[in-house]
Parts: sequence; structure tokens; C-alpha cells
Amino acid sequence: MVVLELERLEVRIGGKLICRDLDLQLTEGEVLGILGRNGVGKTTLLHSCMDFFPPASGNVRIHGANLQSLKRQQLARKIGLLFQESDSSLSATVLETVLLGRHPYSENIFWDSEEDIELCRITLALLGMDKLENRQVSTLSGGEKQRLAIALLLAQDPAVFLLDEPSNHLDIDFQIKVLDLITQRAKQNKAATVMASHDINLVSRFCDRVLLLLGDGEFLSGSTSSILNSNNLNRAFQCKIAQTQISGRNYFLPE
Amino acid sequence: MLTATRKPFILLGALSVLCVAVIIVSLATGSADVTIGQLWSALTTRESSIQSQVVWELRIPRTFAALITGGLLGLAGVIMQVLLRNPLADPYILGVSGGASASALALLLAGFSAAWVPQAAFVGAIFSILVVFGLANAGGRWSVTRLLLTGVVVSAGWGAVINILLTSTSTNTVQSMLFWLMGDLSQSRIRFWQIAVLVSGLLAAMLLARPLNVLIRGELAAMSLGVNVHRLRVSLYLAASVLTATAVTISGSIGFVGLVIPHTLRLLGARDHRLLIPLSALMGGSFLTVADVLARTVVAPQQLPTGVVTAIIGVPMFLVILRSTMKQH
Repeated sequence: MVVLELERLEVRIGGKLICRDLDLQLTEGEVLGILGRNGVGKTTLLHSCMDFFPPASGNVRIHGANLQSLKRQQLARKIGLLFQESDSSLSATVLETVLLGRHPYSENIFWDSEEDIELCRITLALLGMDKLENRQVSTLSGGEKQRLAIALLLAQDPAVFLLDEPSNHLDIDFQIKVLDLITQRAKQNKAATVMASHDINLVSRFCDRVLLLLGDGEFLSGSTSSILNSNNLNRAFQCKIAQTQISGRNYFLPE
Repeated sequence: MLTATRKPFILLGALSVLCVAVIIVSLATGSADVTIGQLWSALTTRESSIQSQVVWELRIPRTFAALITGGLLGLAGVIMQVLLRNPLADPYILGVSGGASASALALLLAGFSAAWVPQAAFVGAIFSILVVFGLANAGGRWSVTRLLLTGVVVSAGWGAVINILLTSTSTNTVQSMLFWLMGDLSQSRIRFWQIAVLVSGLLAAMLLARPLNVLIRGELAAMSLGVNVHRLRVSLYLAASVLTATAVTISGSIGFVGLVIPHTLRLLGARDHRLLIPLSALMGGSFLTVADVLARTVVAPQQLPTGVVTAIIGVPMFLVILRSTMKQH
């Protein structure tokens, strides 16, 4: 079943063309990677899927419903975004922050439900943060903040996970653990995942399909194996990139 | 967050006790001597002694004027700070008090009785609220920066109008104009609708407390968590403006309450708006009551404008807070 559908999507920001005539369908459990140079529009594309601004033309649909026809609260139950950077200057504890992920579902207008608190504690434990629940967010390290943001997204439990640079600040083991966790959760919940990343090897490892943004609205889209090769990557990143295999996995390195 | 810790209830309890204590002190203090015993019998028996008259006709109205005004300002301040995401925001930053003052002063200059000042102030405040809202709203998009700039500029415009009015007035009238500009409770009388504004504003803000906790994380983050940011901001602007307009109608532009109280409470650990909102109203009321007691006793039998006292207490208080927050970072 199709979860996320982009139809003849054209996205522009400040007059700059990000993509034009983009058609794409993601089914349950599928993972799409968005790759491209800095400033090519990966984040902007994710933001247009959040309806932060209307597309220049075309449609974004989720479970068949047009984004603009959904109320913010309905939308927040369907799509969740891991922001590239989160504002961590605010004083709040770790548990308070994860609980914000339950905001789209809160039935009680004033109190947090015991179920939500329990669910958030379990989610924190999944990310190895259960001992930190009463810590002030401002005292966390960069990697801990990123894991907290991921815990919040998991607590939000959307049908589409949008991840903007999910490996930011994370140690190499957590990069893999966290993406395993999200993609497994997505498969269980019949959710689709879109990750924008600058890390070709993470995309190669976790994504079923790749959208390679080339600039000026051009792009390549297809299965990971058909898109990720030296030729296409050279063109996208304008530097020589070599491909190698280690224990059956493809890796890409600058020459 | 109102869940795992007992801290919120301790704060709420402590401030409630403080508030009651402040009310008693305010009722017992003044140029006429009223002992606690006399205060008690005045409150319970309504006998017709001089003490009873002083308590019922002078002190109770004035104490409650201070409490209600302080509550309105504390509440308006905390809302304005979330709305503008600016720690320096206070209830007057968007020009509500400027509009009220210009209107009230124009009325005095035109020779009308001072009894009409509250009505004129309210009309001026509402006018200013609508002007800022209309200008900031032009074109449909309504960004916080645009609102802030529009408000600050309109506020500066009112400042100029006020100066023109002051300089073209005879010395006698200027005296009462200055008292009003600095904020003063000596002529204040609370009307029922003003209490109703405080109570309904408090309830409305409490119902918005959870979305506010999300909104402080930024526009996009709040949208992604299901908050209708535009609608929430419009509600906040209107709520804060009406609260401020009501406060100004009671007492003129009393400064610092709306700025300092929410910050102090945040430093004491009340960051969750479900707690911060009621506490701001409670502590705002207590703070202004204390300031007013000082205003009418320090240089007795002369009276200081209450707004001057809040500034005298508020300025050092705010600087200390600023210093301690800078140390935290």
C-alpha cells in the first residue's frame, strides 16, 4: 500500500528550483535516501513534505490524502520530522522533551497520561537514555541530544519518518543502531522512511531507493543499486568517487 | 513536568501562602493605625468603627486593585514572551499602553474630568491593538519579527504623541498626567469586568499551556508536533493585548511586573507553562501589592506613583536575574 506519494512535485525556495516533475511513491516499510551536495535542497524537500510551505506545483499525499487538506494535528500523527538541528538552549528535562512527541495525540488538554509517560520511558530506554530522564537537555552532549530528538520522533509514532541528517553528532556505532531501530520500527508500523543525508554509505546500507539531487531541479531517482554508482555520484558531487565492496556491501569513497 | 517531581506543588504552595501574607500586610498597613485584631473584627463583623471604614473603603479596594492589576500584567508578560520568543518582551512592547496613554492624556488636555480616564485609556488601547494587528497582518503572512517591529514602531509613535501632549499642557494637568504615565493605584477602583478578564484570561491561558510548551521550541518544531501556530499566535496576541489593556485601564502603565515576574519564576524552576502561567498571575499580584504598600508608606503622608516603586525594586531584581542566568550558560 502506498504511504507517501509525491505527484509532479515542483519545489522552489527563494526563486531557486529544487526539483520539477518529481513523481515518487513509497510503500509500507520502504526507505528512501535523498543525496546531493550542500545547498541542493535536501532539507527544503523534506520541509515541503511537512507542508511548512506550499509546493510551487504538484501534490504531496499521505495515505491518499493531500497534505493541505489535513489539519496540523492530523498531519503530526501521520508525518514526523527529525530536524537537522534542534534548539537545545531551552531548559527542559529529557523526559519532558520526549513527551512533546505525544502532543499530537493528547486527549487531556492539561495533563500527560500515564500511558504516554510509560511509552516515553520505554522509548528512552531503546536509545540507551533511560538513566538520563531527569537531566536538563542543555547539559547533554551533541550525540545525546540527537538520540533524544530521535526518541521524540519514535514517541510521535508517525506513518512517515522524515529524517534530516539522522547521523549528525552520532558515534559510528549509534549511527548504525539508531537507523536500524528506526527502519525496523517503520517496518513494524507499516511506515515509510525518507532520510536526507550527506553520508553515501549510510544511504547505501539502509535505503531501498535513492533520490539523487543534481541541482537546478534535475534529479535521478530509482532503486539504490541502479542509482548509486561512481558515474552518478561523480556527477552529483562533482568529485571523483570510487566504489568498493566489503563483505558483500557497497562502499563509496572519494578518490 | 507535573509528573515526577514535587517541586511544582511546593512553588505553588509557597507562592499562595506568600500571596495571602501580602494581602494581610497590605490591609494592615497605611497612615491610619489598624492592628491585626482590629483588621480581623473589621473583616468579620462589619462594625462601623473608623478602622473598619478605612479597611473597607480604602484598603480593600486598593489592595485588590494591586492584586488584579499585578495578576493581569504577570499573565500578559508571560504570554508576550512566548509569543515574541523574546526575553525582553513585556506587556507594553507592542504599543498597547502607548495607545492608552495618548488617548487618556488627550482627554485630560481637552479638559474632561479625570473620571473618564479609564474609558479613554481602554478605547486608546483597543485602537492601538487593532492598528498593530492590521499592519502586521497585511498580506496574510504574520511573522513574529513583523509583529514585533510593527508594535515597536507604533509604540514609538505613541511616545511622540504623548510628548507633544505633555509639552502643550499647563503645569497643573501635567502633574496628574505624569502620575498616570508612571502607573498609579491611588485612584484605582476595580470593576467586575476587570476581574472577569483576569479569570477568563487565566483559564484560557491554562488551556493553551501545553501548546505553549511546544511553541517555545520554535515555529517549525511546533508545526511538526501538530500545533496550528498561526491560530495560536493570533490568540496569544489578542489575549495578551486585552489583559494589558485592562491593566492599563485600572492603573496606567505600571512597568516591570510583566517583564520581571515570568523571568524570576523560570529561574525558580517553573518552566512548564502549565505551572508558569498560574504562578505568573499569582506572583505578579503579590509583587504589585508589595510595591503598592511601599508606595503609600515610604514617604507617607506623601504617596509615590506605584509604577516608580516597581521600577525601583524591579531594576535591581532584573539585573541580578540577568547576571545569574549569564553565569548558568
